[in-house]
Amino acid sequence: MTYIPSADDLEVITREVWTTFLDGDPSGLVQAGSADAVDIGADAVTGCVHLSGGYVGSIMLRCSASVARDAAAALFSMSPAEVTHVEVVDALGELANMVGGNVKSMLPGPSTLSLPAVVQGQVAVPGAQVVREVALAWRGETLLVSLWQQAARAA
Amino acid sequence: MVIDDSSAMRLILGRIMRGLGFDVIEAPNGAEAIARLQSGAAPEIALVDWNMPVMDGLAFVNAVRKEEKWRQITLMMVTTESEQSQIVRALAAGAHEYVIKPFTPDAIADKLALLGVLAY
Amino acid sequence: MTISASVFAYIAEIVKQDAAIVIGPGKEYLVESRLLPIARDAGVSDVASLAYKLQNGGGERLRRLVVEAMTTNETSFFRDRDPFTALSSAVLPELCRKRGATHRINMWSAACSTGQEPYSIAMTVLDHPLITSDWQVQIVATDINEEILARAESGRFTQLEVNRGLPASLLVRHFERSETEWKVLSAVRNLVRFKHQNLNEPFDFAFMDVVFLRNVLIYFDAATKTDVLRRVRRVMKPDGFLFLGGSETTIGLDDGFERITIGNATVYRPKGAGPVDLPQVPSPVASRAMPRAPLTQPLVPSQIAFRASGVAGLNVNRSINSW
Repeated sequence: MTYIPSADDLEVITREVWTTFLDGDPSGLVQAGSADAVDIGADAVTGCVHLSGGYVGSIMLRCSASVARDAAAALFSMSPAEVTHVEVVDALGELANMVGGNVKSMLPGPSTLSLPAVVQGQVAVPGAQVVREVALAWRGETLLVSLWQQAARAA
Repeated sequence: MVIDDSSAMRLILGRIMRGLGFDVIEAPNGAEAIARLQSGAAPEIALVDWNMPVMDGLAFVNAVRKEEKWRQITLMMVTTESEQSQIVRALAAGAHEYVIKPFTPDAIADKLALLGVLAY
Repeated sequence: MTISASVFAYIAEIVKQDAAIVIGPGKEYLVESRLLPIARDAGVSDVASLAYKLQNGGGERLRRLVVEAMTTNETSFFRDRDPFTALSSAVLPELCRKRGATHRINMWSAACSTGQEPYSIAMTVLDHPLITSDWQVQIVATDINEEILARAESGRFTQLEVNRGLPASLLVRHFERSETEWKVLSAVRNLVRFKHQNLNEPFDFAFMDVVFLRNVLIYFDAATKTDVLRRVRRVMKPDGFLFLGGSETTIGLDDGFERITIGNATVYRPKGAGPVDLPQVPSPVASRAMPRAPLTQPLVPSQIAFRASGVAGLNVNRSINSW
């Protein structure tokens, strides 16, 4: 029997990362209802890490460009106005890496974590499906955290 | 020396280390860190990320431990890799300590004190 | 940007005045990271402005928030390190010599909070070469707060908590991953018995060889301190050991204790307890020169295989299975 981290687990891990590096306040990031109902909008940004090994799949953080900019500003201790594309890519990649690494340790291993990739828009992984997803509200906007699994390995 | 491919993380760790009284140099991957060492940098401690392009943190630890002249460098992994098996691998390769991301400044200070590079 | 020396001195001063806790130099980052959220809540942008506000009629509530932020959540594994070095290097060897007939050692971790202290003691015991499996060691861990005690008893710690003070070698040896958290292995857990206890009420246990009563007397007035120390002394063996917090002492409160030092640690013993065989503890200067030999002798990498194979004579099989 394989334990797949629950949506609550994704939330706990993401909150730990957000609290530590962005907010200092655990109440800053809260569950925001059903992930299915969320529409991030046309300017979505996705930070993504892939896992291969005992588990094959991905962990993604998806949010609007303004959330990504705010997160980068908080991580770099800059004002959002100073943040450029470079900081957004670095920050969202590192945030995905931290969430991904901690999710990985709950999955069947050993698995290898890829370097993070950050893209504009939504990422579709061929042959993979979302197995867990949670919508979190941060500063009034939404952040989607999802765990993907390669179909061939799905139970 | 702070070795991490994320400049945000280098900034955060650099700020913590400067706050603790260290001079800080940075490298974005293991290969550049080795190059800095070869050109004479002699850090007391290296904080090492695991997943980095070109040369990852584990390879860096292995490379440093092979060289007698770098024996004095204390190596501390600071990484999101958090399986027990990975921690054991890093310690076996020669890392002295291991901090899992996310971390607080206190955690870094605690570990440095454990290693004796920082007074309690 | 770290805070200026004058801001740091001011914050350190009010924490000392209000909580009798000393924030040593080099903790600027701590002041910064703990107080920045409070500064923002108070409507100012940084810690310097917060200090200015406090100095200019900021109010008692704000001051209390600042002092609380600087003094709470200080719990970490092997907190202050020196008491655990003393426990391992001198106290346990001494007790092994003296308790050979019963093979029994009783310890008490008072005001144990979320459990880092009793589990640190338990790991020190488990990893001690002289405490073989034929010894019975029990650590009673008490706290006044039932909720916190339940958390301690669960033996579960977050990633952030295990990052605090716990050598990585001990994390992999004595803990296992449990969903998003880490859980102490039963070998460690089974040495500790958790129990509700208000320190102002009678104790229903006795014959303690070692008592950890750290950073709790600071919250009491002098009369209560004296009373607690006296009653603690009565539940200790006459040749037992008492560890207090760094800013605490029995001196001037209960003259039934005498003070000794073991390495860098200050330890209190009931008067007449007799001498202790002190180990060759390196001086602070020497120990800085030997950075690879910290407190509970966490494994240096080259020793992992050695210990894992059981050659060291330690009863380590239970934890090795989880590697």
